[in-house]
Amino acid sequence: MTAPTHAADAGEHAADVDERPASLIGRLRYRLEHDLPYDKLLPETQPSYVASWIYVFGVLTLAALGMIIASGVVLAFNGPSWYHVSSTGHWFNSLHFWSVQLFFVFMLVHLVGKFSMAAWRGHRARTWITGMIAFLVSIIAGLTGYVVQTNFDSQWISFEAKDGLNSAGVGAWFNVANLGQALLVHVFLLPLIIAVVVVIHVVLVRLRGVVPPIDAAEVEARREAVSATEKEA
Amino acid sequence: MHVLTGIPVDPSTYLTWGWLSVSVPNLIMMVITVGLFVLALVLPFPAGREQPAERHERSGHAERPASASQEERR
Repeated sequence: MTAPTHAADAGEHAADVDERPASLIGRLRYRLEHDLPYDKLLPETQPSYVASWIYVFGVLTLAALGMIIASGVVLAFNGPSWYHVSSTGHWFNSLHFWSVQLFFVFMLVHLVGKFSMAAWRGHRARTWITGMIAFLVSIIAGLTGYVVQTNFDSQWISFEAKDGLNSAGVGAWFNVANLGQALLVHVFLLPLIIAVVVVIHVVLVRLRGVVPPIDAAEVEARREAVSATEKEA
Repeated sequence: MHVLTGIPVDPSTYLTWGWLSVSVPNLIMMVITVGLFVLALVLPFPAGREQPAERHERSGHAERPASASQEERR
């Protein structure tokens, strides 16, 4: 292979720019084809440093989220008059509650693990930010979940929370003592936001790859070099 | 009214050390979370299936794998 000249580089760059579609959909397709091909989106292998239990907690969090949504759908269809009195309803209510407990446990371990390995390295800032957004929105979803239990516990929590929210200046539009509002926010708005943010988070993980341990940065550098060589070929 | 009688309203047991007050269920969840984190760091991860490229490398061939993913395992 001959050494590339500046003129040749410029020519390749111009050809590359010419290839790019002009429409929005075309640009999106071009971007996905180049940055996120199927083997990168759905990989069968992971780097050797992923062989650690600390890397498992992200997918455990996703599994818990799946259980929350599934049990939440059942609770939504049958309602409080069922899950407060029926033994099957109690079981699904508990399933929903414990899925949430596990969701937060797994997410917290995932968060601390990623924080301790500075997971925002290697152009992964957006991955870190979307993870944090998912965490914060989940906390609000947890609060609204406690508020919509329709029992004395929810009454106590909502009246304690409303004072806190009023003092924070958001009580005028986010009123946890308004059961209708809290219910809609809990079963529709927040799950939708969490689902969208989580999908973006997972796609970003696929796009940038799993963050290596700090002392394995050389491994990643080698991967990038091999990847760049393959692209050139 | 019979519906209300079925709802448990018993408060949890709280542990208090000076300014710190925590319910037993919350304390249990905190201990589980910290315990899981520590276990995740110290427990060995089970070995996975070996990739063909690894077998190839281990058998003495120094040829570089065709792709980055083949260099990796699992």
